[in-house]
Amino acid sequence: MNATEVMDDQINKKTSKVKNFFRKLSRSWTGMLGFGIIVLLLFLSIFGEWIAPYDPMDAPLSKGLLPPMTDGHILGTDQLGRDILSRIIVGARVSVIIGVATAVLAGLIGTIVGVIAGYFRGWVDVVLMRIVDVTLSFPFILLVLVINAIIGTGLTNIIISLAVAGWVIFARVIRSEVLALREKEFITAAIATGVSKFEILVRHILPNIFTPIIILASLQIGTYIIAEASVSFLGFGVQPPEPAWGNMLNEGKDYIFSSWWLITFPGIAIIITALGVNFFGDWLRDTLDPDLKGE
Amino acid sequence: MLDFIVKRLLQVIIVVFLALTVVFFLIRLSGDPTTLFLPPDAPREQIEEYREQLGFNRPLYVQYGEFMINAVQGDFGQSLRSGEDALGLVMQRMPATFQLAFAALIVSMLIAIPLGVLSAYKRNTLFDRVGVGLSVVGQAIPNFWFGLILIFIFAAQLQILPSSGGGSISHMILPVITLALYSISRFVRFTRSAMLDVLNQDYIRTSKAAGATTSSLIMKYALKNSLIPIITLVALDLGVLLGGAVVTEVVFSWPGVGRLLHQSLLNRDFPIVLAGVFIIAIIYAVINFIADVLYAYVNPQIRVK
Amino acid sequence: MFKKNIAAVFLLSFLFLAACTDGTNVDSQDGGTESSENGGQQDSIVIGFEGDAATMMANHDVNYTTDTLIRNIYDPLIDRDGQTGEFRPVLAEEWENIDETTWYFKLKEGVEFHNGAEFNAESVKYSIDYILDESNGSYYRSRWTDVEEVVVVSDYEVEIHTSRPFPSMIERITEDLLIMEPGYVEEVGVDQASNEPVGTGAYKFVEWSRDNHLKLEAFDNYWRGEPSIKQAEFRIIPEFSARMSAFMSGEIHLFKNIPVDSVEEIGTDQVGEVPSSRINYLALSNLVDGPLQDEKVRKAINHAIDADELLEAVLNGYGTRITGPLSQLNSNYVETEDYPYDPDLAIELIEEAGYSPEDLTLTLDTPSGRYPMDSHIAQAIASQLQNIGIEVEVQVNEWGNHLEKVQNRETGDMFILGWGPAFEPQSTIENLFTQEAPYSSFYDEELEEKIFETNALFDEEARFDGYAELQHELVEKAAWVPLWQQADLYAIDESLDFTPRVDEKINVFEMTWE
Repeated sequence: MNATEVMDDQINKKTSKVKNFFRKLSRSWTGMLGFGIIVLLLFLSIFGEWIAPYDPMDAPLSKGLLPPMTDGHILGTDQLGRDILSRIIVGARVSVIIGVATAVLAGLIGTIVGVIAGYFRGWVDVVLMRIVDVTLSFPFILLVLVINAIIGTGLTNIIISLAVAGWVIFARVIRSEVLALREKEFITAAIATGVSKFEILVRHILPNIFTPIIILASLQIGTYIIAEASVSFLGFGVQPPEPAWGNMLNEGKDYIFSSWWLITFPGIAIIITALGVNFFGDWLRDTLDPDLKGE
Repeated sequence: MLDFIVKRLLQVIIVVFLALTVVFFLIRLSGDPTTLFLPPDAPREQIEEYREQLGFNRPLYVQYGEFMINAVQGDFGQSLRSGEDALGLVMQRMPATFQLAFAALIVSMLIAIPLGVLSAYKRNTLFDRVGVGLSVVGQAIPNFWFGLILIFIFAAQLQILPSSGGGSISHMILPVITLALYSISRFVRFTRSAMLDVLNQDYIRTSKAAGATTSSLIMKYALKNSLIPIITLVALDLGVLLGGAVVTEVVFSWPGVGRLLHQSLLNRDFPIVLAGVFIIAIIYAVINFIADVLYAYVNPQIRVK
Repeated sequence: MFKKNIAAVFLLSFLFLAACTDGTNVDSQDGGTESSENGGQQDSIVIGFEGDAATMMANHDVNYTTDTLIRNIYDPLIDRDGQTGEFRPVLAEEWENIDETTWYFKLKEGVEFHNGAEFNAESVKYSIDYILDESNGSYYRSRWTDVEEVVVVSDYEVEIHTSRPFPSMIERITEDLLIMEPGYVEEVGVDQASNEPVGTGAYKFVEWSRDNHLKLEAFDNYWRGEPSIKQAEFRIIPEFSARMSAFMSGEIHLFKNIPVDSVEEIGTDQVGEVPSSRINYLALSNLVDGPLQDEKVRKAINHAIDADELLEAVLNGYGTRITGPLSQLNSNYVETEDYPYDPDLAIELIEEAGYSPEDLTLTLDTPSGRYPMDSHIAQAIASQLQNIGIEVEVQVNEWGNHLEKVQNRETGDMFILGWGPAFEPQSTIENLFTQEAPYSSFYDEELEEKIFETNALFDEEARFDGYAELQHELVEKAAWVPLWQQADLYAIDESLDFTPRVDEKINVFEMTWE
């Protein structure tokens, strides 16, 4: 077998994996819908600036508060004359960044803690799990709010706040996964044959908890996006003029009586996004690991 | 059993203690709020003087030690703004928050449990699919947005319901619906699957084969057995509701703890924040504790573990 | 067995719920739901207010929400004319500046507190001493430290001695001081007095449910005569949308701070407008390194910003333009030159200073929701400056963060802030344009010297001239971009007679039903 053949083979393997993924996905319409929404979101967050019909920051004051479908503004304009559709399109990026970055950060912290606690047990486990209990002893949204109010607003800080409040779920789930794995035969066998602890961790444990991490992350992203919007709505979180759905709602809430479109459309964008991510996450769980307890 | 309860109670204490410690240091590290309470034209030496008086210029460990010693005795210091007992101010707001949370809990149970049972009973019919679909959508709706939309429709457009303040039953309708939305969605899905679990068990199938009607089975066995996990979830959800109450209280100007906390965060009135965190941590921990004990009571294996 | 338990849980919850609602249910009957349609019959009012008082104790919390509410319960010695802002005697009949450090006040006789006690010089002394006593932790003390002693001359005469000349004494008495009943506070203690206040005001305290409502009833022995409205309730509703819908449904009869875009919705016949003494401005910091240290660049920015357009387009015209550091309501106002909108001249000036507009990247800090349309104004200003090529990064801050940034001088090159109430020149100019004061971040050594000289003047005329000169110089040096006086917009039920005041106070005594 020469080099090209090896590569071809790998590509074939990959394509068959991809094919397999889509075959499974096509059996569930909610999974499909969720996947479609996620693709659309990623697309918007990358190319949004070019797709948006107007500059989302441009504020021609004289064109403020135009209702939908006037003057070429499909979803109307806000109090400063900025095009709402454009702001929603570009605002997708903030939601995607927050959802993904938080999931990565929270997932990373949670996994490290969960693996350490579950694999090494003993007093480390006890201490770490008490910390998890402490964090879980607060309503999530309240915790995010308090942390964000204390460390300050802005995109980075809201991601940190969400991750600090959110890693515990990962830690708890990953810990119980690791505990279960430890009892599995191939691991006890490896231990018995004298394989080092570290090697077992890297070769046997980590690859096997990868799936639950991915599932859990995809299930949590919707929560993060909604939590960010809530915190921004309360005046913390991502601050304007950066277009983000949460602060659009905050800026628009005083116009609820005169201009309903300011709060309606960003809200719908949040719902569709959360729905899409949840659909996909549910599907992923049902397909890959139906027994995983995400919530 | 007693052992288990004592152990869990000890954990509650540790949890509350750690929570306070973390929040205390986070808050102190974030700077001091003295100037927010003074008139803007206060001279610099004055600001220093107040700082001293409020104790912000002492070493952190001294502040922490003093805080903990006082906190154990239920003294969280005075509100920076009004000079009144912080814990007292939080406690004053508790009834309003509980009122909202309990009402939402009851409303969601009354709506969700029958819906969930019916969904399970009519499994895979249009009714079931619509019900499940709506409950999925319900979980994706941010509750502050839902509140705003309700205000827009019922208070602004139709003008049939008040949108703010505590008071009569009519003042409660919109905030309670807003707060209940998420729980309704969760309960419907949960009740449905709990029911299905039971309906799939052998003895039910056997009775069915023996000619019992499904509805009589539901009333007789399924409901009875699935109610245990449902009640547990409900108990746990009171905590979720208390969290959601922060946002809902702000949207509807509801005079509860959530709004007080939000206001105190905006004002940097930290003694109130700490007292609020304390109360919420306790309530949360107690709810979890009750749920655990309930579980252990129902399911003795847990205790052995 | 489980069925029984569940039934018990349900029952308990309902009982609990019923217990919670019962008490409050009764309250809403007496005023809230009554609509204004019964016109002349009505003798109660419900006012929607954006924030609750921190305490019912007078002379403690400097926040405007506290002051506005408790001024219905306590009287001051002096207040302001609602339209001109001029001092008006209340519990003090006359006052006099005996020498640089002594002030004399003659008090009104025959005034009664709500508990029947008599108002006299002792109550004035007690109220000021409350501020001065460190252990009380009053936030007003910071402005009163120069007061050395309050001397009771006779039952109805007091003298205030200061350690230094204190030219703004009358201002302080007017803005800060409310009169408490010494006997009552001594008897029940500060804690109870903070919750159940006693004053000489037009309304007696009835009930205070924090963050919910404050209920008052008319004090029939009020020295200015019986109030025409018998029952007053302030309902605390921070969210504008909620306040608005409460007004639309007739639940509340009055509220302040309508966002300019909602005026139409309420209907202009139900909107009262008054120019506030509070001014909004764009500070140009010359304390941080940057192009704004150059006077020419500051002038250019003044020329590049079209404040009239901002006022028209963003504030729908609700506001009064100012061109210098003081508003026309200020006792020392003189007219100053304006920098006309002239983008070409602006570019020219920037080039003269050795920059080109495209090189400039400025940051602009703004609070959000503190002043009318503040963050929107900031974004519109950025857009105007971008028109001549200056890149502006707008940073919107939550109010607490914004204030902290301003005070620690951590803002960008420019920031938006409001200042008020500003009826007299000293507090404005001293607190804005000296090195110690962070609120404009503008400092000029020569000017500062002049400011201190003028502050110390006691001769009225010399003082007036001194501040007049300062105003001209501040404009000449382009110390900031003056924007406007805020317009305070009130939603007023059409059959309620109330004229909004320039000092933002909401005194129920001044209202009547038609």
